[in-house]
Order: sequence, then structure tokens, then C-alpha cells
Amino acid sequence: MSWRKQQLKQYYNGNGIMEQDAQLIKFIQDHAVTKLCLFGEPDLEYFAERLPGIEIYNQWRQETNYMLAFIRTNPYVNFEQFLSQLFNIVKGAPPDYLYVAINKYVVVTEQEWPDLTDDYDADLLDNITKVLTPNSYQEVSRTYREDTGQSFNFVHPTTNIYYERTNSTNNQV
Amino acid sequence: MNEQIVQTTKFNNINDTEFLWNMYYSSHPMVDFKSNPVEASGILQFVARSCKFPGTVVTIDSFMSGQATFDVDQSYELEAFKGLWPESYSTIIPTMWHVPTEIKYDNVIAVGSHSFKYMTLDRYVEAVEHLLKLTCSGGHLVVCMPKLHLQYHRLRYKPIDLIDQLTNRITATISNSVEFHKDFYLEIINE
Repeated sequence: MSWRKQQLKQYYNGNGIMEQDAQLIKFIQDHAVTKLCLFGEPDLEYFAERLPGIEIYNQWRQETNYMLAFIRTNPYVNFEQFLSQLFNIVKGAPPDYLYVAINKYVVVTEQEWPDLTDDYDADLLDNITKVLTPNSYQEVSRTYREDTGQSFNFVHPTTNIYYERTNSTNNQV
Repeated sequence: MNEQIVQTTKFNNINDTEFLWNMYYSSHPMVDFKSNPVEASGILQFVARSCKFPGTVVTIDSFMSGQATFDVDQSYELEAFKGLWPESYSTIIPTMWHVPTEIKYDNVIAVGSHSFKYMTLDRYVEAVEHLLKLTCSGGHLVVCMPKLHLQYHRLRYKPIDLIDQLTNRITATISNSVEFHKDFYLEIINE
């Protein structure tokens, strides 16, 4: 049983859906996404059950019309490497929509970051946006919340952000 | 979708220990000794070196039952983890904040990371000050600083900066620090 399903079974008799998952699925449906690539999200079957008819992959392919779901829950995210990977993806085969969810508790960084505020979540997302904006992405929405361990952050991070590619001819709303 | 949208893990209802530890992506070495013998031994050796002997010892959420090489005078375990130690002699308390502070000890050991999870740095400082109340003058506190799970701005502060922050805020001396299994462990001497 996947980690996601274990947690839902533990607390909700398997009858619930995490808010972050529900938002992601709704975004996919609202934007008529037909091909989806998940990175760092092992629970493909869970999403496939709830997105019938949509092609879902967990390996990157050089195709257009992808929405890329980038969900990081692995121990220790090197933030510089994370941004570098994002850059390579949007330069190589830019998807129409991009979803990034970062587990703020496992971020490590090696460099000194300028222009920081007191808002850690906002600073994480702003620095992600700085990488994506020059590559024709604009923010659609962002979410983060205070979390003292009660949220499902370690399955699907609560710090997350949606982007759409501004120069895509395929975007559908 | 007809499923109920849910937000929280209902944290206090956890009773599946394997589930709990997997949730934090690691097994604390002191719980999963067999899987982490080197780190567990390292923590125990650090604790033994950092204690003031001869002296009285109290442990809090520290999984020390049967593993310490020295005698423990009083032992407290958190209620959420009482299932881990069903035959332990430990006194069960709801949280670390429920440890009575009337009795002072030469050594206070609090090496379980769960006690401090998701605390802000300010709250962690309060927690350390609270534990120092248990120590005699000149007593030793050996405490976990769970750098992975404290709430702090990780782009602004490197984990090592946390120790500097703590140094500047407590009325005691951090005499030693080590890193085991993604957490810091500190020896703090009460002034």
C-alpha cells in the first residue's frame, strides 16, 4: 500500500483525499490536460484511478502538451540542484503547465541567498519563479500554510505553486 | 470526485510506530537500534561522555531503557510513544512540558527528536530553558536539536547556524555538539 493510502487509511478509513491532491486533480481537469508527467511522486496508480483517460508518466519524454507535476518528498532537497533540474526541464521540453510542490522541511542549501524576507515559504516559491519567468512561465496560483506537523506535508507538500507557459499554443482553460 | 477533502494527519492519534517513523523518513536510531547500530552507539557514547558523573540522571523521551551504560534515576516517555516501551519503567507524560521541575538532577538527557518536532527556533529555545530547570547548578543537559524538523528559514540559516542562534539566547554554555542521523546533539552546562 502506498504511503499516501496508508495515511488516509490510518486517519480516515481510506475515505478521504488530501486537499493538495484534490486541488491538483481539479487543475488537471479544468485545464483539459491529456498527458501528465509526475516527478518524485511514486503513487502513479493513485492518480491514474482518479484521472481516467489521461496518460500519466513518471519518466520525462521529449513531447509537448505535458503538465509536469514536480512533487518533492525525498529526504534532503538540495535547493540549487532542484532549481537546476527545473531549468533543464523547461528549456528541454517545456510543458504547458507546471506544478511544483516542495517539502520545505527537507531543503538544504549551499549558497548564500540574497533578498530574503522573513517568509520562508514565499522565498522558496519566489526563487522558483525567478528561474521560470524568463522561460515564459507565469504563476497561476501558489499555496502555503503554517504547518506544525498536522498537515500531509510529507506526502504532498503544502508549499506549492502552479504555472502556465505564456507562449504555448496548446493551453486550454 | 466524491471523496471527502481532508487536511490534517490527526497527529495525536498515531499508534502505529512503523508508520510514524516512516512518516519522518527515518527511524530514530535509538528506536531502531538494529538498523542504525553505529549511530545509536554513537549517540549513547556521546551521552555517556557528556554526562557529569557521579551524579543523578533523568531521561525524557530518550529511549534509554536497557541501553544506557549508567544508572537512570528517573525516566519519562511521551504518551504518544508508550506503545514502543510497553514494559518500560518510564513514567508516561503527555508532552515534554509536563516534566515536573521541582527535583533537580546532575544530568538531564533528552535525545528523542520527537519532543521538539515542528518547533520554531524560539519555542526550541524555550524547551531547552525548560529542560535546564531540571538541572542542578553546573548540571549537564544532553539534548537533541532536530535540524530536519525545526521550523526555520532554510535559505537564511544553515543548520549549523541554529547552534549559534541557540548559544546567543540561552543562559547556559553549549560545551559540545555532534551530528548523528541528521540531527544535532548538544551538551549544555547549566551556569
